[in-house]
Amino acid sequence: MLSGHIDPITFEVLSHRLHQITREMGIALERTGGTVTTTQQHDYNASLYRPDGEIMAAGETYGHHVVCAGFAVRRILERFGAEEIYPDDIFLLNDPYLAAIHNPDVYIISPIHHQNALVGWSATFVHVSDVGAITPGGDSPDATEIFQEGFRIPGIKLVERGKLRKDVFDTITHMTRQPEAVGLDLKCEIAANNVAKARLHDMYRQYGPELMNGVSIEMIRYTEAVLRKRLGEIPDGIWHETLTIEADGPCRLALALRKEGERLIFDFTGTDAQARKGINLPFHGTFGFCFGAILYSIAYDLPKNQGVLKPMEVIAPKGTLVNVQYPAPISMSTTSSGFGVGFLASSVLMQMCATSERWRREIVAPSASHRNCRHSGVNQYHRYSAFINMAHGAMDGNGARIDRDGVDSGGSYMSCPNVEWMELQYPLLYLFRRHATDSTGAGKFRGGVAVESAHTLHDAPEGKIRGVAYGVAGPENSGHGMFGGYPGAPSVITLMEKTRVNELIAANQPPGELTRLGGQERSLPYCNFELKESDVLYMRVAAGGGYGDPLERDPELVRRDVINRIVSADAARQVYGVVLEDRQFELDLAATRQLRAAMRRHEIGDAS
Amino acid sequence: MSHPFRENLAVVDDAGETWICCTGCGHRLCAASQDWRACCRKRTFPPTNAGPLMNILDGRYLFEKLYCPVCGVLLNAQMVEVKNES
Repeated sequence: MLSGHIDPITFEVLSHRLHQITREMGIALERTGGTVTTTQQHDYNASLYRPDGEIMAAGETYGHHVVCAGFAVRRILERFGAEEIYPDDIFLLNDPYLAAIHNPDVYIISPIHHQNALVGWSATFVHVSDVGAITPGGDSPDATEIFQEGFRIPGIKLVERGKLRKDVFDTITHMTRQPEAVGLDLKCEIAANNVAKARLHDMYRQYGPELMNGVSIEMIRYTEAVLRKRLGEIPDGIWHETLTIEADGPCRLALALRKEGERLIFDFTGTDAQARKGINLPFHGTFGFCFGAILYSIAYDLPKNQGVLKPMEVIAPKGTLVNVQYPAPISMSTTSSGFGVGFLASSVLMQMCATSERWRREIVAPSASHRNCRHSGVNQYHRYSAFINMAHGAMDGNGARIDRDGVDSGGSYMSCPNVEWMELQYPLLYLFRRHATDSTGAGKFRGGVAVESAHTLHDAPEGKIRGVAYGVAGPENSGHGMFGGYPGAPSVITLMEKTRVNELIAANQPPGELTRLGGQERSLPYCNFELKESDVLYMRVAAGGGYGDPLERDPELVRRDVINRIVSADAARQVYGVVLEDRQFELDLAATRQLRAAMRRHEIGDAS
Repeated sequence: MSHPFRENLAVVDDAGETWICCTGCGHRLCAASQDWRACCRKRTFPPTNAGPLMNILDGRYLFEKLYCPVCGVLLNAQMVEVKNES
């Protein structure tokens, strides 16, 4: 599919080297970051752009941020003009109404010059620990407008001709609850951009601007050509999906995907008006999440660049959840409507793939994501932390596929620190963190099992810490089944107040079952809350959806799931129609055949 | 042009007309331009039919399954919101 203008070996070497630069940028972020969000949870982006902001190469990170950082480059070009952009300048932008997705995702953008000519850009984001919003950490359920959601910078020079502007740096960090941590995160972004600049300078010196420019153009052209060819081989059609998020009432997202020849049109007409709570997504975010869905379905093996965007169009009516208008709140956009859009786009693309002999093998049951929470407060060392991300997204169960089960606690994004590390850093004590029995979506191939956890306070000097509950709220979150496969159990956050947890621990009876805790339970919507001594916070993340009819699942696989406590013996019988003899879990195949036949007769009545 | 549509369903061309057919028994559910879901046998169950942890959906959702009306093969399964008629 190469155009023939560039020697294919040179093309391969240079394109992979550009990709490798973005990976090295990511490593720099991880090694120099100021918070666990960057260093362990990998909530960052690192990518390279052409002089006009087109995506040249992107690291192994979020698709939506790759796109939004491209928007950020264009906003910097518009604001400053080429004549005000100098070698070794570095810009900062975090305005969600211009290019970012929510305020805490701070973009740092660096122009790359060769012999004083602008030849490209590098860009990073990290989720900084605080932006001075009404809620510590930034996700602000009580915000009613963007002005309550922290500092919002439309583009500023943080570094001017190689010199850090300390006045600007101090002004930004001064607006936050954790100036040291935010400062470290901003500097790790500068470091990663400096890595990109040094590596690109080496490449320009070695290969010259003409070849480098040609390779980046060819990379984009190649990706676009292959993607269009793939689309051309898939039958045309229209596919629909909806998702309801509960935020002061139901908020409905709707998507129709039209595939016409080599084009994909994502049409969000029918989506509800923007919400009062900050679950609203800006247009560039919607565009980015659609890009990500294409990337992870039919373009996962292609160079990640602007070529993926060329065949796609996004229709998102203004003033809706997917194209919010100023000055509505936006702080929880990524983890609510953002992941909602990602689910819708993935679902319709999977339905599209099902119509192709080649691509139906790639289908994965999609997930509408999960609930999560963050804490803030004073830890056991009397230090304040504005942002303790429980990072449960790393433990979602993945969707089943046409020929295999979903990955258990495979994770949807990010990574999750281990329990011991969390307890060492923060005033938390885990009662358990484990696979949740019966959470997985049943199917001929079942979804990946979800993780459930419970934690309480431990050695907290103030006897409490704050919390904020966010994510995709409502019973439609978690994995959705495909083609007869069942959905995964909904993701939940439950606060159990005034429990017997300390009494049980003192008696050396750590509670593995919540029923022993007593206390008062309440399910948390989008809200701020306090975790006090003797309270317990229970969380269960998303489980993978199943694929195909559970009554067609190999009974031996069900037996193994029961032994591994992924499925209970009761559910094996009631959902899968598998009969196991008590205790030893020996499979009774004859009884299983009889039970399954009876279940079918019961379900479909006279149809057969 | 015939091609797969989803698990157990295919789009089949026959004498210039296009149909959505069950791949198990060959039954023509409907023309390709129509909503195939409306042509299925539909049954609803309590949410816990899909597993015990679905109990939090009780009263608000039902578990809806769609089958081929002829051979009874399962075509789709999803939670649907209970519509209040009042």
